[in-house]
Amino acid sequence: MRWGMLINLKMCVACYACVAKCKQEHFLPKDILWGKILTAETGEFQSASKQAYPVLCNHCENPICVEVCPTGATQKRDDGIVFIDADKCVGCRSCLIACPYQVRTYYSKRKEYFTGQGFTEFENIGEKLFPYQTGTVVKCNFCVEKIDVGIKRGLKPGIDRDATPGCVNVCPAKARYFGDIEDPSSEISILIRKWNATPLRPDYGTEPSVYYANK
Amino acid sequence: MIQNKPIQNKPYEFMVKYTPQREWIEKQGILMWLSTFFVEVGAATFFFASIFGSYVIMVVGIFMCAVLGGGLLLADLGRPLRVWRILFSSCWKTSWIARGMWCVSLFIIFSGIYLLSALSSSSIPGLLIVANVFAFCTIIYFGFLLSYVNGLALWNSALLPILILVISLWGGLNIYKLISLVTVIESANLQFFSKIFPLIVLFIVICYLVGINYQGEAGRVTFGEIVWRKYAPLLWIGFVLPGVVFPIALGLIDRHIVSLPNIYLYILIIFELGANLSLRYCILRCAMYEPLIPIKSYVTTAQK
Repeated sequence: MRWGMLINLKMCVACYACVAKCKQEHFLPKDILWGKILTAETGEFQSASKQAYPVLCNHCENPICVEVCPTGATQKRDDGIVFIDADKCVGCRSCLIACPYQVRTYYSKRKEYFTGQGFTEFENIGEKLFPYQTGTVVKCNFCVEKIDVGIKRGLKPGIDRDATPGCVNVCPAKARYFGDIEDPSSEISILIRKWNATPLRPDYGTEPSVYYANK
Repeated sequence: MIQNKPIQNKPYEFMVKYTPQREWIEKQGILMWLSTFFVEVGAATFFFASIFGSYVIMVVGIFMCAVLGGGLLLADLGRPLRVWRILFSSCWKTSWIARGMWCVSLFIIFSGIYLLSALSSSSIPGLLIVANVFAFCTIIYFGFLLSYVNGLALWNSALLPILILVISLWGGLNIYKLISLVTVIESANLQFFSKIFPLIVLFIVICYLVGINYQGEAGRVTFGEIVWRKYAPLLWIGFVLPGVVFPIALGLIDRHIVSLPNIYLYILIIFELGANLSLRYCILRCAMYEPLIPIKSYVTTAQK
């Protein structure tokens, strides 16, 4: 079993719903984004083109971040999810530098969303629910807590919303698919084959679990 | 596809254009640059001191490595109190930081024991050999650590560990010379090494940069940034002028025109140490990630 994601770039409208949902789902602190949308504009008026690429941790099969971590804080589970054990992270940021996709963030200091006005009630609740440790590195975890609880309840990630990552659930254009990419009969595997989807920069040899299609 | 302005300057262009690494050179990361300088140059100083038999300079080398380098490294870490986890995990199998931490620790332990035994007039030569082996590992590990990062063309080079080794030895030699001059107690004939090191470093830097130029698009862009664009002053004014041109010019004047007083030696050493720091800064500052979005192919597909 290896959890993966497929993103159809043709369907993505760059609405940032996935980014906002991720931030809300995990009570992410200010300046921290686990999912991002890379945008670029090319050409000039009348032939201008906007490109959008939603990016998140690729949960690679050969994660270089796991290899370089000096304390074993970054680990890969049997189901392919790469996660960070914040209690072990020493804050050396070597994983952040080694990741060629630049999807990790160093959480240096807890900041208020509204500078000078103190922490809101929402931020304080978030701090209790997700007590991120300053001086450590954070990144997308494929909503692992939802997947684990969902599986225990007999739900299927990628099919049942309660066991599926928030960014997949919230996408209004259904540009994202989630599931087991090692199961050839899963919807995601079928679509990857059908759409000839490819991961981002496979030349790095990390074998990402997030695929991109343009159909 | 090279953009007109290769380095991204707007937040929404993150990873769309060439993006420099910032974690180990900006803000808190600047400590990493200084830390590696002191750790590696300290170990190299110990190495030269052991060759020329100076206990005082050996102590200085260990101090630089353990106190200055180690202290700055701890200050750079986000959670310094957890540093013991690096030593007591099994991550040395894959992580160069963990390997490096072991090398530095063992170097400090063995060199410390050697010095203590030497003070009690029962020095054990075997210990000095072991300490020098770990000093060598301490000098070179950061080069391997950087060259392991395949996302950064500037670092992903087999020549980088050699370059780091040579500039560390160069720095160690300069510290040795500086202390010899200040204390007047220790002295050794270092003329040959002093003259040849800038040329060796220059040769390796040229080979390294030429190699980078052939490492794909990111390599070419990085090469351009270092040699004639934004970061060129770091190379030419920061490294070539004080580290190569100045020592050669002084050497020629000293040999053929007039014998120079000691003050020029001090200036020369300070210039060479500055060049050493500048080159290290250049290596950390100029490393750039390639764009993630394949702009050209994406536009073509979208326009179909």
